[in-house]
Amino acid sequence: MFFDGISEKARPALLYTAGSIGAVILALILTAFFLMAVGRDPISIYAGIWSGAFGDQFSISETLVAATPIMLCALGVAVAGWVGLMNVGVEGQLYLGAIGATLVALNMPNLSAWQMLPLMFVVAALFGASWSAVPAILRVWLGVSEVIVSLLMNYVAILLVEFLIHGPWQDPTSTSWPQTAAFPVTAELPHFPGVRVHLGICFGIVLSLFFAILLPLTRTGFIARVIGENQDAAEYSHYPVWRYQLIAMLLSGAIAALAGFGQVSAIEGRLRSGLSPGYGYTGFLVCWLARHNPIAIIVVSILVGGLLSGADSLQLTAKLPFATVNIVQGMIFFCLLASEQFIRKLARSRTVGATA
Amino acid sequence: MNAVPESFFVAVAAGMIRSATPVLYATLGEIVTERSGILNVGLEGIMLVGACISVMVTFQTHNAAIGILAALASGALLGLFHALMSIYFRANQVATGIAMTIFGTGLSAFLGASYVGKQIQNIGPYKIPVLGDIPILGPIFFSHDVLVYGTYVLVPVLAVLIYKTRWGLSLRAVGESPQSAAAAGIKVERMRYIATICGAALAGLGGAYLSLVYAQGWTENITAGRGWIAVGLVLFALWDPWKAVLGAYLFGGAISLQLRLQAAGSDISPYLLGMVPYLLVIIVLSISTARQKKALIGAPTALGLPYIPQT
Repeated sequence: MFFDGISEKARPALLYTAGSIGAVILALILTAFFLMAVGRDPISIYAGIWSGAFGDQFSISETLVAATPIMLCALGVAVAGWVGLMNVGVEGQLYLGAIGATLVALNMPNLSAWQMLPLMFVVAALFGASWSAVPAILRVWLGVSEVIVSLLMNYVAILLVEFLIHGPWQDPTSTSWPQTAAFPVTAELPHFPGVRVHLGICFGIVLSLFFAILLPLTRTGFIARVIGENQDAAEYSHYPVWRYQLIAMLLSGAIAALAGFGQVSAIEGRLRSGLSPGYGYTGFLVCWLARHNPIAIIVVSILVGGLLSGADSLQLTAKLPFATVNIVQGMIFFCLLASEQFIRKLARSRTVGATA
Repeated sequence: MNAVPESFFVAVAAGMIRSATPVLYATLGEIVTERSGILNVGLEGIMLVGACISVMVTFQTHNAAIGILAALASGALLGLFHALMSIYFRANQVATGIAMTIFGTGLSAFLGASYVGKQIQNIGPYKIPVLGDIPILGPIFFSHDVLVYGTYVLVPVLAVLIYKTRWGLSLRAVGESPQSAAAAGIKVERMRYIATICGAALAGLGGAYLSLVYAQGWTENITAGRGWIAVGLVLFALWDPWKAVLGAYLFGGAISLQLRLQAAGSDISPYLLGMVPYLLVIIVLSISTARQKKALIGAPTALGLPYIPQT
């Protein structure tokens, strides 16, 4: 298929890190020009974003709150990417996770927290996996582009949430608001003391560490990497390509769904629309900035989470539209992709220099 | 069939044509682009910018024609950018398209924020004389606006251009085998720039139709996935302009039927009905891909691959 080419050969990690950092800096410069062109002062905006993101204890905690769903979504994108697939449907899978968690929270209010939260976790993951199963099965069996199918499923997922909160799951006590009733207290994921940061970030970090060990050190990880780098070679070696791809996509959806679970359980306390300002797409960018590396995903998620929460705090004080965040993210992505060409050239000249 | 009045059928069919038009423009544009071997999945972002720019310019100039030109120009500019990324920087074309979607979503929301709900000069319908008076067919096909008629002209023109002209032969050669095309004296990169710019301009035009005619105003995320639908329809259409019409009308029909059912007071939730067009595109895309695999008709061979000139 022509939708591949995610992972490249192992190249100097230093160059890649420099490329990602350079891309972000260049994107911030370009965005500064844009902001000046529309009559805004980029320096005060950037200073505001920085202090809104990392300025004090409260803003750092809000940054980590935003980083949590981004990290899980980015990890979801990465898992699919390792076997050569692009899951652009993490946004929808996040919503399905939220639906799964809500299903448990609303219908089994009498469970204790020890029963409730694990059950919400499992059902959310299953719902997310069921959503990514659609592009996975179509891709593996029929060769349908998983990019387009997973993306279109995002729109279906958002409509499904709208249907539920305007229809069967609408809070019976306040019919004017499209949202479910509040969850029982047992359905709330534990927070760190005094802040909104919740257990969800631990899911992200633990899973990242797990994959950081699995990928380079196990046979499973080795086969996954072979499939991701060269599917033809993997098929030639009789590796179970389609089984790996199917399982990776299901896992990918399940992980992204945990982001939705975290949002409804720990942040919103109910299911409502506008659950995610595009965490799935941000996660996609983060995964690429981190070059699909699970440890780098932790770091980049926190930085980009800072961008989101910092810009969020400027919405009111500096009247900066939240759309600016998407402009910056698009710019970063463009610069990152363009930088690959320079890295390729540099990497090549270095190897040539080494052999000469 | 007595239960369904004729007027309902005509209304659904006429609505189908209108709902299909934005997607059809984008699909036709993407066919040209992909025929040259460049994959531009960022149509969603390009359509959004086109939709937003056309409303802004029309509002300022009180002239929808200038608004439409501005949308074409903004699409062409973003197309040039995608071409630069794909050809000069040899970036991953799918990832570039996703970046374009994120960027276009942000840019259009940013620029369009103060235009939400603004009244604009709209393009009125123009009934074609004689043809428009034919019973049933007249109101379905010939009582729309100039941009709908534009697709009637564009489809056969593109079909001739792609299949019957020297330029079309060069275009297809560049997409199938850039090395041989270059050996035959075709300027591969120039061809790809042109095809990507023109294709994206058409996507911008599709966006303009959506905001100027279809919705008669700008709202954030007005495209609601139509750019991705168009990318899917290109695969369904097997890079053929005529089959693109079929795909776009299927999608348009689903949208139109859903809107009419809602207006007629159907009990089915509008949110559930709203899923139908997306699911329909997924289903037809899957069927056509499965058949394509059997029939061995394929994508332009060099689609999505960077061209590295032999030196």
